[in-house]
Amino acid sequence: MATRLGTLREFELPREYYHWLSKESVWGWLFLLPSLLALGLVSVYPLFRGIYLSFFEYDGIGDPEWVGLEHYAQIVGWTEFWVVMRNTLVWAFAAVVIMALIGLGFATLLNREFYGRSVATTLLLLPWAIPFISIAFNWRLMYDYELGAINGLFRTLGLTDGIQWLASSRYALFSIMLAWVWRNFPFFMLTFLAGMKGIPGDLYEAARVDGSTRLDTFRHITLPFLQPVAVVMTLLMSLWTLNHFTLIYVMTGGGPGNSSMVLPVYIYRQAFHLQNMGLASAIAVVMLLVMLTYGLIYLRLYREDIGGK
Amino acid sequence: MATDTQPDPASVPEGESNAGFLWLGPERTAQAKRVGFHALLWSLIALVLFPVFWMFVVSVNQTSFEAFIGDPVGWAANANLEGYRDVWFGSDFRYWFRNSLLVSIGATILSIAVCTLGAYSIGRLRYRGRKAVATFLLITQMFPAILIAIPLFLVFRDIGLFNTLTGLVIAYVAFTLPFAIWMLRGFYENLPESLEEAAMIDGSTRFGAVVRVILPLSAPAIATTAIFTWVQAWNEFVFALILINDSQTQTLPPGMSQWVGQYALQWDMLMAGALGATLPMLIVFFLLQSYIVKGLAEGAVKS
Repeated sequence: MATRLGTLREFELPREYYHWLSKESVWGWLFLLPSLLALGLVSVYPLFRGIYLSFFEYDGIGDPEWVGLEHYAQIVGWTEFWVVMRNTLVWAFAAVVIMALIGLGFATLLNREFYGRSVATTLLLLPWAIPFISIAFNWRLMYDYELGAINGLFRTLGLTDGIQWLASSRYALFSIMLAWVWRNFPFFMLTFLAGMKGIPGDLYEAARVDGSTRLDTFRHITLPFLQPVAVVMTLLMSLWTLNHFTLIYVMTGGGPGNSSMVLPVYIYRQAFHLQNMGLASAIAVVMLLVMLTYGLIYLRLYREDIGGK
Repeated sequence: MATDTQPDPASVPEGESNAGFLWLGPERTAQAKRVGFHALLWSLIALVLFPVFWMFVVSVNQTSFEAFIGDPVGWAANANLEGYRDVWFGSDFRYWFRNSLLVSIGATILSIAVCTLGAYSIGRLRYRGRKAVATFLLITQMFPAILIAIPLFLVFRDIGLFNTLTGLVIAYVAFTLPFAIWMLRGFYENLPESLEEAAMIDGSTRFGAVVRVILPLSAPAIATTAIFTWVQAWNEFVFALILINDSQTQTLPPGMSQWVGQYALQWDMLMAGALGATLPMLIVFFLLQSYIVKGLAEGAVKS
């Protein structure tokens, strides 16, 4: 069976390369091949081509014209870009923190034994089963000035005549964020719940005997146990939030003004409405740098929680 | 039986003594806490689910919140399916729905076929470089989708995949792969080591052992991964918006997004469409709900 590999092993390779020809290695790379091929062609290659494109002026039709670092120079001194960048960071950071806290709260509630717990879990997971486009429509309706339930509730209670949630630059980004949180808190809830179930019960017993309060046990037992789970979820969720497009594009389009504009929507507009493919790519490269910096720092800080076996 | 007037101090566990409200004994206190807990939890659940309920109410009877509160039963008397009719017969919704189904099913099947092998390789085999590949998968999540989409548009336009569902499927496979592999890998890492070795001692190859021993065992995990892939594909917006130009070739999300200005006041129709787009996901969700819970717990988060 292994004669061929054996032959190679004995006569043609220096000893330190043997491991590449071990059976596990050969099968390993063989099994990876389709995935790497797909990712290479549809993810890595376009990535580099996008970076290359950022050095050109290109309207999508004619010939690309080399402009070097001009786009990047333009970005640095561009107030509008920095407004969008700030929105994007606020949006991602605040959304993830809020959904993690809400998720933690619900996980704590669901961690108790009670009749109907699995039904409650399923019901709370439901927002996750609704497509983004429907969530965008749904929350546009919630925020509608006339029909919407939020203004309706406020009017019923006699608080205000109504607020232009999506049409005011003050509330627009926050309003969309609430819809995004609504959709994603179940993620955190479920993963935290799974983490809580893995905590041995006698730890709590022991703490109780020592006279710890509930808050103490939560801080010193529950939270440390949840950390590995929380680390991976927070990383993925912040990257997904930074990348998210649908809700903002459909609910406000980034407006009014640029008050709810985030980078993905902004880049899309530059590339396909204003036909500035090169400039759009340059902004996307800056976005890539932000995401990579964030992600890699995160990976380094929490290497042990993410590393795998 | 302890009574409410005479709490029995001996029955109160240490550290929780005097935990009751002043006028209630410990047993009544426990009862009150239980009732309070249920009231809190179920009202929070009602609050979370209210937007879905409201979406349904408006889809069958375009009513305002105040009118609904004033007559919470009356809306049912005026319920009608006009919104649903307008969506299905009065727009391209039916094409988008079909296209979304085709693309999501195609992408899910292909992505699962490819990711199962990849996840097995990273999670199970021991060779140099597999950790680097795992890290690389995580790093692909740091690529902005829009940065990939612009050049992909140019490439697809040049090779004739622009405006085709095939092109979209190819894009979705690559876009859903990293998370799918990452999720499934956690499952494979936790299988007992000896499984396929036993099969291989009996004379089967590595590939044969995977197909005959590992695949059947991992069917639930693969199902979970498939759900997540399906959800990602069904939700995807940017690639579809950029890589498809023709309305009848479009998928649901970009297709429906055009309605926003067009039919802004026809809320019953907008909500009927929103619910229609939700239906396939809801079906998958309720059929496979227990897998989703387990899968998230075991796969996505296992380090």
